[in-house]
Amino acid sequence: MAIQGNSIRRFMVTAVVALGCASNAVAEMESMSDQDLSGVSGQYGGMSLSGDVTFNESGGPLKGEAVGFDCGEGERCGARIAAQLNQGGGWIVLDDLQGTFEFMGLTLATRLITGDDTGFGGDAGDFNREVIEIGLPETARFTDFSYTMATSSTARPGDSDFRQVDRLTVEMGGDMTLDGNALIFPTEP
Amino acid sequence: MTDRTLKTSMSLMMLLLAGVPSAWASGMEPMSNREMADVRGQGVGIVMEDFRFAHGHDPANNQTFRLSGITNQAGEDVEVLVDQLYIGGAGSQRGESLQTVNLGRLTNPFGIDLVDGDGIGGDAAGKAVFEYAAPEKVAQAEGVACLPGGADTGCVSRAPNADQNIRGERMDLGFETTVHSGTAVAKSVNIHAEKAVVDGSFIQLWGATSDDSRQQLRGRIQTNFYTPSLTVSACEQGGTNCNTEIAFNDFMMELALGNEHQPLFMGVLGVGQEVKTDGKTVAGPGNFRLELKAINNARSPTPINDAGDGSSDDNATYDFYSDYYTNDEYRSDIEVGSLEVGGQDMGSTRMKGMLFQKLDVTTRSLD
Repeated sequence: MAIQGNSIRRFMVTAVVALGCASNAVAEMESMSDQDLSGVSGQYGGMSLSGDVTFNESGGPLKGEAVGFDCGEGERCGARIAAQLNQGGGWIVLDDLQGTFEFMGLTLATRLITGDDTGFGGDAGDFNREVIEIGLPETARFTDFSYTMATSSTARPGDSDFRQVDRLTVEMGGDMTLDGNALIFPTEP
Repeated sequence: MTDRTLKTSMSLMMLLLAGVPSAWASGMEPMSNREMADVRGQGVGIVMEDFRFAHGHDPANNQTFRLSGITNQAGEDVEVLVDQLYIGGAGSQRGESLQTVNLGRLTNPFGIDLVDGDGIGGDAAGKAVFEYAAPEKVAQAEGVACLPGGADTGCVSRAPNADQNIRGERMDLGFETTVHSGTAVAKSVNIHAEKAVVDGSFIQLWGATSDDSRQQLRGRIQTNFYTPSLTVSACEQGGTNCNTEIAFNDFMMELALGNEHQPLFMGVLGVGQEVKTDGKTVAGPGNFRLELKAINNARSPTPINDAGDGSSDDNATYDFYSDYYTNDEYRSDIEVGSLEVGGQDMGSTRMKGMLFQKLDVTTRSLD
């Protein structure tokens, strides 16, 4: 896999973790007896994430013009990710990836699913296990986000005998509707 | 140097799918027998709870969703504005009132797994196989009807039921677009599916052994799709002339692309590679190629005898082909309970028992 010219310019994540008292606890740390330890049970907690990810807001790969993208003054040229599926063959390319994805209120938590959980019918009671819960963000917004799917004879535009066939360019912008939780758990063997 | 092509929605879909295996392709290596023994049937289950997604092109609300890079046969640019793309729960009235849905069940979720290829056999034997699968279908007596009132009761995704506290696992999904093709009048093309179920679908991918002459990612894809209502409509912009709606009622598709004997190969033509037909080069480097291993190449040394009755074949060869031609798992079905065009009922349509013995598709540039 060749990755060329992708620069994640800014990756800012603010995490609000419910561990505000941690620093106080350090000073008075003591070992626990077996009896005390036996009383400790798992806690279900989590955190909330907000932030944005920006790809190639300014700048881009060398020789991006060879692919037909306008990387001139003021124009942004995006990242390129190429993957080869067969030895000696061509490349599947995600090209000219650029733009910003912002999210507010993405949550990450552990959760115990019991028969009290609604919406699952009888499954919740049968399941009765812990899961990792990713709460999809309250706000999810694309700003000038776009990418091109293509197939190419070589990994990089600068390589000899480079020839690329663009398949589809997708542009997205604005707030999108995205609700729900992703529940992730190991399946039984 | 950039070529642009008109491509079928099929190749588009394959490209989307191809995005997934790319990460594994480059670093894939055969595992030793010892490593294989460590592969356990435990994977990761994923359930989307209370889920809905929608996005569309709406400049008034600062929303953009545009597909471009396509050209029509005359070489003109085609721009597709996606007015709405949605996935939600049953009863969403074509996305007008988007409901939430559970995708997958806690007891039978969507799953990502590394499975032992010995269980698949054929080309996958002795290899580790990556699998991404929808909820599995179950025995007819244990499941629910895939289509409401239908005979196939092996599905697990349920309809919403407030009394039983079931949110429902059947999705409404749709795709509404405005297509600007060259200088032609813009057209709306809309596709909606209601209460859709994808149970039993999966993608399995595996690699080549080091002594394999073909070092390429391969796999098999099972695509199941059941919906009581699939509609496709094309209108002139403004929606005044929309009477050309085609409705596929009680639509059922079980498409098997590839199997353990005939893996599906996805690749791109590299430098110096080309596809020739009657001595003429029809596709060159940079084009996408999808191949299904021909069944007569799947078993060596020779295929079944001319009589086809096994009389002069060894038993193993006869059994191989006997299983190949009688095993339902290798076959694809598409059924439409009733087809309506502009409100006129055209009756039912069935394509049953399709068996892909060979497939070799390559895209080519129009210019």
